[in-house]
Amino acid sequence: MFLSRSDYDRGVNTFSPEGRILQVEYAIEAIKIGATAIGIQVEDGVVLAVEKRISSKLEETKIDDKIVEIDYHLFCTFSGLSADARTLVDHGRVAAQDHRFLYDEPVPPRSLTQSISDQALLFGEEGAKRRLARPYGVALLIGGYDDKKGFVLFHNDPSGTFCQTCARAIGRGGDTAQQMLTDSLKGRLGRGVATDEEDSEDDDLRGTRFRVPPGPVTLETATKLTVYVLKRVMEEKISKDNISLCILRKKTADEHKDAKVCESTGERVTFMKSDSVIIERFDAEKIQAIIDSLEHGE
Amino acid sequence: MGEFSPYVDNGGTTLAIAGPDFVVIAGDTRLSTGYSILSRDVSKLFKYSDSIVMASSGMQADIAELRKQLLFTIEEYRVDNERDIELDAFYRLLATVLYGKRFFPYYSFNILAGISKEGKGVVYSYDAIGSADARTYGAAGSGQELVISILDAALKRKPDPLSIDEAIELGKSALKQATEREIHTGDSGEMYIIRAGRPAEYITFKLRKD
Repeated sequence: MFLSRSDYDRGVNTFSPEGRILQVEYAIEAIKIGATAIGIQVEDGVVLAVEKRISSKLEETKIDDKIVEIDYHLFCTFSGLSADARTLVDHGRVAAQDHRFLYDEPVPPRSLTQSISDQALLFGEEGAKRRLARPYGVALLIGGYDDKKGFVLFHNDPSGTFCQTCARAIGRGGDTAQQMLTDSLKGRLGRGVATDEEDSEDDDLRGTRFRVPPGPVTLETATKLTVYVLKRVMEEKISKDNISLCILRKKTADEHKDAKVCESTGERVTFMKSDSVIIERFDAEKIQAIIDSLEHGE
Repeated sequence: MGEFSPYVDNGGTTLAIAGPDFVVIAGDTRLSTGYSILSRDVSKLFKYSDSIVMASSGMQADIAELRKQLLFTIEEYRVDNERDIELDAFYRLLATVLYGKRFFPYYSFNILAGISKEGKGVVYSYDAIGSADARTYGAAGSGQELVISILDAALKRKPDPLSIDEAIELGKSALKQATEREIHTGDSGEMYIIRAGRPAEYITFKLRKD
């Protein structure tokens, strides 16, 4: 595609004769050279994991801005141009607060993803101020909790398309990682749960399959799986410093007790707070522990 | 040249009473200005869903506009979020819409009745600019003072839980008594009986026409 430049690949407002908007397709290419990011949604939570590329030994690695919070019940990671991601995330944060302001409830993750996708499509050469002249060069994985539907995971890309998924990998190692996720989770998550044959040795032979313990896939297993997959697709050797890992899960009973109590009335303050879930960021030690457990398992 | 006076009081009385798993909401149907009766059959109740009913008194034109705004917004909510709005969200929406016209308010006094997420009957009573709180009963409109006294006497220190039949009778009787003393209230009464997980039931009853 890069070799055959055509007259149609410059503008975002012209279809090519084959019916393509080439600039949008090039934007999708920008994701394929970005950091690998993985999201898995299971019954009891969502995990997001992403590769952090460190360009220099002098770089501060403690700053963890590759998995960000959109609202108390929504978090997000991305592949592609991180500045573009920030713009979209900012838009999402405003949309989330807008919904809380008008309805006093957390925004449903699907609506939020829709809203971000609407923004992703707002590019063009003319028209409104502050509009981007090119498509956003970023794809997002958005994990969230919905009062009605439970934990959910969405993927959106520069064309403004989004879809709900239970396991998705994007970025440089995205294709390989997606295949590994599919192999490991086949018959265990998503459509066709428990209908497929229990074990298919073919996948094992390829050595791409993570052994998911029997029973429902737990968040802990999903977390290990993301690290397992990242470890295999990353160019650099995986370490506690070059990945970020976050989960969204139900609060424990103890965490519920910590909810703020209004001093004068004794009421639990729930305003601006989605009460039932929490975003947990894994620190370097916790990440190291998962990496170690994978080493021992082999 | 007369001064611009944008507001008219069309009178009328509304009330709502909540029980453990139900709520009743009622109003009269008289529409008046001053000593004139403009209509004997204009509803003050508006059903948004089987678990959300709003009763409004004040100026009929403003109430009609407010209803249209709310209908538009909850339809938008339904298609955007692929679910019907619930009472808790509607409560906040109404407050926000009313406060949005803080400096030229809708001349409307609203009571919202419905079933909460936990399945309990709830009454929210609003002022014209969207200040609201949750109660177990409330009244609004030209007969507010009369009705609220009756409800206070009947409910404030009631030892046993309120039954649905008691609530219906109390609501009817309070409106009837307001009609005896208050000239903007009368003609006929209407009431929604809202129960968790069931369609809202609608009844009407006669009031004095003089």
